Amino acid sequence: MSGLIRYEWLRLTTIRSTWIMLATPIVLTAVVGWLFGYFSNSLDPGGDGATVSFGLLISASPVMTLAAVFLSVVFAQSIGQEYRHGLIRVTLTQFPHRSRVLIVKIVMMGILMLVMAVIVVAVLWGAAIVGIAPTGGSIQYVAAIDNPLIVRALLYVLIFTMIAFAITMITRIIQLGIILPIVLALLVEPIVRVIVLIATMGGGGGQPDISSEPLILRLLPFTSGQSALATTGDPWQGLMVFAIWCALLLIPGWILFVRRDA
Amino acid sequence: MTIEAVGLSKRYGSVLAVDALTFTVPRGVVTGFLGPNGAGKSTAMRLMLDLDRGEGRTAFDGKPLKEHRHASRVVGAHLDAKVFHPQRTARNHLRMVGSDAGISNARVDEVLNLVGLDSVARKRPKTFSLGMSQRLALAGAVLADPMCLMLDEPANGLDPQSIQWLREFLRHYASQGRSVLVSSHLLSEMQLMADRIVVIAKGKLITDGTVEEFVSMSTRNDVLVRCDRPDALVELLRAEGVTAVAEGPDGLAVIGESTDRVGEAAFRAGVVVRELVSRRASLEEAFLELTSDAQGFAAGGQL
Repeated sequence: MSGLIRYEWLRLTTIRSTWIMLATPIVLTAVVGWLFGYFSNSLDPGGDGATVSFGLLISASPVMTLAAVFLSVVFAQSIGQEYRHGLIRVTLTQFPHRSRVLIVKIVMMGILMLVMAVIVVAVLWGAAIVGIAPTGGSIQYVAAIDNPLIVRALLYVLIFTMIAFAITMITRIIQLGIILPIVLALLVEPIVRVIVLIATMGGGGGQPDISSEPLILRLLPFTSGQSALATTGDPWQGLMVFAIWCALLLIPGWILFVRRDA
Repeated sequence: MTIEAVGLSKRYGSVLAVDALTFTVPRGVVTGFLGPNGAGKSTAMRLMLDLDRGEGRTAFDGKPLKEHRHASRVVGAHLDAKVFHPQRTARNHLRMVGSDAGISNARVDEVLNLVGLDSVARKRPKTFSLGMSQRLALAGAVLADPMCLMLDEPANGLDPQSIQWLREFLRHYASQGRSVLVSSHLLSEMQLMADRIVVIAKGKLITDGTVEEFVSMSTRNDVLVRCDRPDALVELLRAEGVTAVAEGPDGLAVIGESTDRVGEAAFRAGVVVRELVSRRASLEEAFLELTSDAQGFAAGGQL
């Protein structure tokens, strides 16, 4: 198993694109965090500086989703590049136990994703403080609210990236693994959401009844995932739905990886 | 270490690409793996390494590859030349490939030097020629000093000097008691390189034996006899059920007989023999003849 871990580590770290994809979300987070901090003063224009909740930064800024998108490239590449460049045959000749190959990939990449997500959260925090300090404001951290939110944010990144990996494993097309989650999250699901909400407009003066969201909307994978970053509603339930979708993709991906020709 | 492939079969839809293929790759010799395009050689090699899913089993020293502690110490495979990430340097590629066997960087450098890629060790292989890519793939196969080598068309894209080097390298490798299975379309090269051959066509085994045994199956092995009265000799030979074909004004090609038997027949026929010589088919001639009905993808157009 140690040989397989070494193999995976070298596979990951000896490609320049890995480092670029890992560095990009950190840089973007720093920029976004600083901007949010700096301009948060506008929330309190007449005061001595705003007090901004760190939880708001996580849930209202696009940082976690941005990080998830870039990191999903790294996770998807961990299997997609093997097929794209034919390396899968080299890998499986050396390590014929396919499930072990997959376990090591998922565990190593999963740890990397979590570590990166922690770094992103830390950078967001630091950049926001740097941004807000000149305005006289401060970042407020409420452990009771923000601790579980950070845990959910880390898991959101992990699950998002793992979905990209699972799609790549099923299709063997790295581009699909990267693009499909983005298209689903940013295009398909919002359209479905609008259609469903319009369809459910009833006798309430033409307004959708948001107090009882239709079940179908609560089952959409990326909508559910996004709700895990919220501080209202039932974010844990959203995370659970997101995780179930991930499992539903991982299981066939795993079976196909073991059964198909390399 | 001996490789034993038993009952390998693989079907793609209605096409049976490999059909109950059984053969042995003994240690200490180079075994050539021959067959026309589409015969199933590459598929068979992938089946042997459990990369493709099919029927049958392959044992490396009596055990499937999975049951060996370090597969890379058992078999080194080169199934395709361009099997690397174009952005990963040649040296890093080999460092990665050597992970299972715990290969040191010094060994990586040694192998790069062996295949003549030391000067481009830190270059990205996206600009490598086919020949350089073949060398890198070969380096990956031999890196862990495995007991078996399985190489699929390793001579493609190599220049004559490199092919000669490859031949000598593989013969030396086998002479150390290791098993070498190498497929190639270069039959003249295979005749020089291989001690044994496994020939397949349409996924089925044609022969598994020495090059001599295979060549002896060809009808192009004959005895040329030149004499003063070929008509008299051919009449006698045909009466004895021997096939003889006229060749030139005074020659006969006698198929399936030794020079001794043809000489005796000439004596009995009372003809004056001017030349009596045994002719052996080349590996290429035997191959073309014995696989002529099994061309998977034959060119049929007229020029």
